[in-house]
Amino acid sequence: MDGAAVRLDGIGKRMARTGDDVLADVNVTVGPNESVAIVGPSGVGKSTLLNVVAGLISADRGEAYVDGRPVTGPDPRVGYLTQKDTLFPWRTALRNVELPLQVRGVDRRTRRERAEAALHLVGLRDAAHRYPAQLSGGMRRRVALARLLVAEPRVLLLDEPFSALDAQLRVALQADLVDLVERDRRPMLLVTHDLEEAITVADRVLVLRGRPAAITADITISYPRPRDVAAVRFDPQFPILLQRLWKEIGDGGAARR
Amino acid sequence: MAVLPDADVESTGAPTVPVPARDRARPNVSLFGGRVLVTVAVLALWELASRTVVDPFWIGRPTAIAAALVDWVRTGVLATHLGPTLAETAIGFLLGGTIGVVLGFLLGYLRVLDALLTPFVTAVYTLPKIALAPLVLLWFGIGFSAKAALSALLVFFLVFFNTHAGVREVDPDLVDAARLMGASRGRLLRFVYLPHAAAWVFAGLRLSLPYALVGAVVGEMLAANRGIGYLLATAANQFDTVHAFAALGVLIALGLLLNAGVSVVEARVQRWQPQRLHRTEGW
Repeated sequence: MDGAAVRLDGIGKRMARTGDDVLADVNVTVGPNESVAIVGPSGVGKSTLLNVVAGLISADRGEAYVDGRPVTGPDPRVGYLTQKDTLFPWRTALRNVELPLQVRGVDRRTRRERAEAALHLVGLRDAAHRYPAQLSGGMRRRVALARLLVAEPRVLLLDEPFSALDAQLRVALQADLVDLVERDRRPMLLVTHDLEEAITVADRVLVLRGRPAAITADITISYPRPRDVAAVRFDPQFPILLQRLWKEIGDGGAARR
Repeated sequence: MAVLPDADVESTGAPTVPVPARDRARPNVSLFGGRVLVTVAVLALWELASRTVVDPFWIGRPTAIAAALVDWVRTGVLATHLGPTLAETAIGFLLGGTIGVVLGFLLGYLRVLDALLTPFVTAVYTLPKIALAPLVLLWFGIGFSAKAALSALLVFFLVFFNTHAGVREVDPDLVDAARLMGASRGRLLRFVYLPHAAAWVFAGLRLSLPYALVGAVVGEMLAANRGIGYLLATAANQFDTVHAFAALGVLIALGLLLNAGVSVVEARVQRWQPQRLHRTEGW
């Protein structure tokens, strides 16, 4: 293989219930330490695509590869952060972060050390012993990020990771994400309908649209790394990129259903 | 269906922002005083009524009831009859609870078995369980085991349905999250299903505890020669309201004590998200 972190080869998916083709011939490559964002109107099949990469569902056509090996089932090589809150409510923040290591049978002391380090990395050392119900939305997302990173996945998959947060918190967490990804040079595939988020975080933005959906545009974002998230937003090129993406998506959002 | 007393739910409940135990204790002092006041007022009114407008033949008299209770304690009658009732309740609770948890878990987890068997459990559940008491007495005789069996029967259904729901209601996103960590079926069970169901199991156990007592007492009332239920039935049959009330007083004290016990255990084991307990009340 070519060393790609993720490669999607002609992925097609049909909804079992309705018989509709959702995805048709989707081709995506994420380079060894590249951040790629997929944008598109809601309901276009972005999450379905990520679920295929994660191995939670199988494609009807085509093949998904992570690190050159085909995906055949739920795949611990990927770290998947979904839109929904999947912290375990009966575990403290620390024990949530420990869980991926515990599942792998890592011994107690090692996993505690690594989980503490991961929590420290996302700025939540002090909240280690609180339960999710006692954390704010932003803190919960940070715990989820820490849990993602502690497993040292080969590739990060993020599905609308910050859409439930208010605008300011969202930008703060995007900055954290960019820092974390750049620190480990970890490849990332991000799905979002927030165009600004896509431009801020990614090296490349792909547009997924149509029914069935396919990639219709591939736009390179050439902001340098390490990237200053706040500075990017006020760059004169930013609105131009935004407008270009907006046009590429076209009326896809309005025409749905 | 029995509903958890609000005060208990709140005292174990962690709202989004947790309230430290110290802050919670303070208003309870005045609340406790208020409750004592209410109790005293009711007893005083009762005493007054029995001495003026109502014949104590019908409603007894608090002072006489208290005297009867003291007499029971002194002569050892209470100990003689409390022992069997407690034992029947405990055995019934343990037996019904264990079977309920195991079966609820199995049927909740194994879909095929669930589809096959749960309709039958539901069918029996719709029966008023007390209606089975005569049959249970027939099968198990009039001794200890019949009361324990009746008690277990009542407990079983509540615990079964709660456990079943607890396993069924596991958030599929949490299951996916654990699968993505590479969790095998066994680890899914250990890290997702069991801890999730635990809250529901506790709710079921807590709800069923008073019913364990109900089963024992009803059994004793129908056919027995000892137990608090026997004392109650005998007193009532002899038109002895004072001793009937005394027996009821013992039952109330017993119920409160059992409830407090569960609360303590529950608060220790379930520190996360106890608001879920509210959702199980419908069972």
